[in-house]
Amino acid sequence: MRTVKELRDAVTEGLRWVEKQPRVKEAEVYASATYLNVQRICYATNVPSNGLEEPKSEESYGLSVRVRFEDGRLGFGKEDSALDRRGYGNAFLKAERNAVLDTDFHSLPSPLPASLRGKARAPRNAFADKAIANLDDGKAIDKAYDCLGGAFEALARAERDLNITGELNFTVERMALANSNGVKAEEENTQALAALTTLLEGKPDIAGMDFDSNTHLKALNARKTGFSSAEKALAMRGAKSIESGSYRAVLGRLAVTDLLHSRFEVGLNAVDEQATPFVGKLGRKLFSTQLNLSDDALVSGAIGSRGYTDEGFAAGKTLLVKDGVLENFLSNDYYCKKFPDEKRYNPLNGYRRGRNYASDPGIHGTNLVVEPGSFSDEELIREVRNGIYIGRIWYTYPVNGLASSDFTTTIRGDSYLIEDGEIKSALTPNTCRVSDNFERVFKGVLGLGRKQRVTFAWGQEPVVITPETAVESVKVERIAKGLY
Amino acid sequence: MQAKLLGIEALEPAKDVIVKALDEAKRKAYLAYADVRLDLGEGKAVFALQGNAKGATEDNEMSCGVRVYVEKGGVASAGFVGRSLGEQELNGLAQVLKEMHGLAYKRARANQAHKRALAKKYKFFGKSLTAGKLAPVKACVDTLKPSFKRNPRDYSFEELVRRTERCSQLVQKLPGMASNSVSIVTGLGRQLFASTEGAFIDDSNALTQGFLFVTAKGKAVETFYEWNGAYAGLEVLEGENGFRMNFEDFCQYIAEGTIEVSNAPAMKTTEKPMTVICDPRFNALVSHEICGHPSEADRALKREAAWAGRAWWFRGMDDNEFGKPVASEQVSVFSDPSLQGYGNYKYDDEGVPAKKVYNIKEGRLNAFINSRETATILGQEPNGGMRAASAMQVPLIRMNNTCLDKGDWSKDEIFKDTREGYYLFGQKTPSIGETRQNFKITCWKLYKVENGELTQLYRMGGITADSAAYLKSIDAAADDLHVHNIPNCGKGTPMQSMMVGNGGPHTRGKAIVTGAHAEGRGSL
Repeated sequence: MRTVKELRDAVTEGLRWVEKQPRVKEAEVYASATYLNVQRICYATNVPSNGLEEPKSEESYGLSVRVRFEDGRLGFGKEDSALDRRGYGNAFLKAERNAVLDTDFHSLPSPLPASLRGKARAPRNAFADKAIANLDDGKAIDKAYDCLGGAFEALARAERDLNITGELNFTVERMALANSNGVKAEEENTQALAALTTLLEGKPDIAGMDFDSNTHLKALNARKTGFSSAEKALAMRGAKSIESGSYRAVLGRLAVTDLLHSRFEVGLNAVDEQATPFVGKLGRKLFSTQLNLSDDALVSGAIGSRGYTDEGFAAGKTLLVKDGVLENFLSNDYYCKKFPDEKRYNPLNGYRRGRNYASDPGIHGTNLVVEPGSFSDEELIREVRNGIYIGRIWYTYPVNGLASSDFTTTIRGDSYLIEDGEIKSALTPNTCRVSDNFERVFKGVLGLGRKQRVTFAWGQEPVVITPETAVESVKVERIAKGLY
Repeated sequence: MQAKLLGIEALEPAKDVIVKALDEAKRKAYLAYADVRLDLGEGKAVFALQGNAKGATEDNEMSCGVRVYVEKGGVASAGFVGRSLGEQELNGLAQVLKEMHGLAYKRARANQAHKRALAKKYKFFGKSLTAGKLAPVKACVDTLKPSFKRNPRDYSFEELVRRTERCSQLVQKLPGMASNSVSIVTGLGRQLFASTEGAFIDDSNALTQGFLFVTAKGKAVETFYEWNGAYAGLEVLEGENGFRMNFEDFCQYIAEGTIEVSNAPAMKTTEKPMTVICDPRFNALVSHEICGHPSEADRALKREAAWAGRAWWFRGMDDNEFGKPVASEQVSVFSDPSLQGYGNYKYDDEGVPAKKVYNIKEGRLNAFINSRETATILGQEPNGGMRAASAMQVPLIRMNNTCLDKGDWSKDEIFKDTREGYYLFGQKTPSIGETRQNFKITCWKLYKVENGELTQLYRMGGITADSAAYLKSIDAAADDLHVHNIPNCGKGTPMQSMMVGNGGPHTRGKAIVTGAHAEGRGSL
């Protein structure tokens, strides 16, 4: 894998060369190298299985240039697997060829005034771990089998049909950037992630999931994740179903995460396209006064953390919701300059998806942080008194369009009935559909837990750091009566 | 000086290199099987917002994947390596493949050793660690040329920018249009597939697609997006597509329809199941979500349970719905990769000739779309269901063109025979249960049907039902089968976005008709 130094040398030399080309007003060169190692766990007792599917990796590196030409056109070009003169030379020629006159584009990023800079600068490579960057293939496979072994240990002997699936991911991302306005950045990030779902199949099926993640390998406990996943499934024995209705609820961390991913769309690009429920709502109280949300790129150990944006700014924190009031949208340099009259916008979320040189910087969250409250998890259950605990939801989608806060989802595991302020029995997975409205649900916050945890959802950026959250009601429909 | 762009012809010299690399790989002691995929895409793409181009590119991408199976003492395991490639690496491909083979083999060996050790340590759990063997197939050698009337290369970059902007401007000036974005892509792709069994498939295709996102502001705000494309050339933009419209007319049609919907009242969810007539594009989502996905053998065999989910109709090898009724006798569902649609291909990413299968035949669960490995487990013939989004990603079982089959009613007969009900027209957004046991799917336009006629239009309409109950309620299927393209089906870890075709004819069944969940900006 290419080193940060190789990337830095490429962007330094590349920028020097590109700036000398005719008709170039300003330029930016960005180089990155990414490596993803994935261990996919698939085990079942009632069908033949592999335990671990193919251990695999995906790797890429290259560079891209953005050029503003004297006639105002902006061009983007990239070159795969090349960091030399041939690479930035051809990327430049592509940028020249691809240039269009984007009337909303004003200039490439310049150093930010002190008032807009990320408040806390991360220590150099604070979110990188050599142990992940140098992880031997055999050790990655060991960890995956360790995770599966942890589940076996908890289950001791299957009392019904078993299905255990999940993944261990190890990611290394390196980037370097330099532009004509003096903005420079370089960084290495690493991520380790384990997630396992244990299903005990029968009548009914019951399911438990656990996960762990960190920027540093030593903090990842794969075996414990496997063990805990199985324990959670075992805790679901004796699950019952419920009838349709409106229920007070504790939303577990994965449920809060899924809802935020689905309907808390606060990128300024989405606002610009009117593809979010929050158009025209800045400064309005939309949620319970207990709800406070921010995007914070500098959380130690959290896998969404970054020291720099992919536009070269020191990363920071953006307050999004304060005491239930929508305070800001996430932005990048392009959109801040497109809407210069709104002074609260900052360019601290200009990232390229997967930190990949092949795309230009869009708007992406880092760590979406739900501020903790004062409740213990048990106190939240007592606060709800009678209702449900929703641990994990599935396929949460804005079925009524992107301008609406409506969502629908199904409850798929780790969920319970709450009676008289206590967990009484498990809730049968796959028997409840929740069809509700995001703003309505989070207007009715009863309390927030004091224990946050880094969580994530399938195929989604950013990560969410959230406590459990009690709400006044969610609308539930009983489904699949004939099956479960 | 012009930028250097690689065309798909650049892969030609790689053919011999790949064959030699596989000959070399065969010498490894425990190698049971290995394959190589090398792909290259070239094309142009433009994105415009509110009538102004925001980004454009003419470029190429290349990647490679090596998959290895090893077997020792009757225990088989796999390993995989994927990389994106640049021109320099294409020139040094022999060395690249040697490294990739070495690493994939090492992974497969380590995997196999752990699998054996795990089975030994946990005797009870170890009994089912028996997968990993590939069903035998004939090693095919074939060359497939791209099919188009007008070569994507013939469209000038400048004209593509102008046309994308023009379409966006056309939409933006419509009264009631709040925002729109348009993109057009056109290009050629080629993949070389070769295996240690002697298969060699040189497969090229063309793709042209336009995409439109609109936000309309009438009495409420309504968003909608739709795409229009085919594995073909520039003729797609001139009307040779599923909508039978040139791209300008398509954009206007979608934009005007969404403006109309934004002025309609929001639907209120019905108390009980109603008669619902679904058009072929709405049925694309129905067939995709509740028929296609649970018919993918890897889901049924629970390999995707952590994220993508399972299939309610297959609990175990001896406990499943094969041969049993899962739908009414009016319902057959097939997966046919020979049909025109985004699921069209001749060989899958294991080099297996792709075959049409009936997933549901006259109401009974019949067959899954499979891979060589899952075919072994299920005792079926391999039918060529493995596809990857790019060569650097591992292939997964993906539906191809999965559709509800046509019936013997005409569309008019279905409407004439329906005194009261709802008509769901166009697809919007699905939400499905983990085992695909229940669904909620929304449509672009929802109409009330009274005495066979369309009356009131609603927005935020859809249907919800348990999958089996809904499929069993279908009492009429028309003869107007249509395949609609879905370009963004997500599956896998890490997630891969795949192009598939789905559809059906007009059908009639019973389901709860859904509407707005709560009052809000979009649901006033």
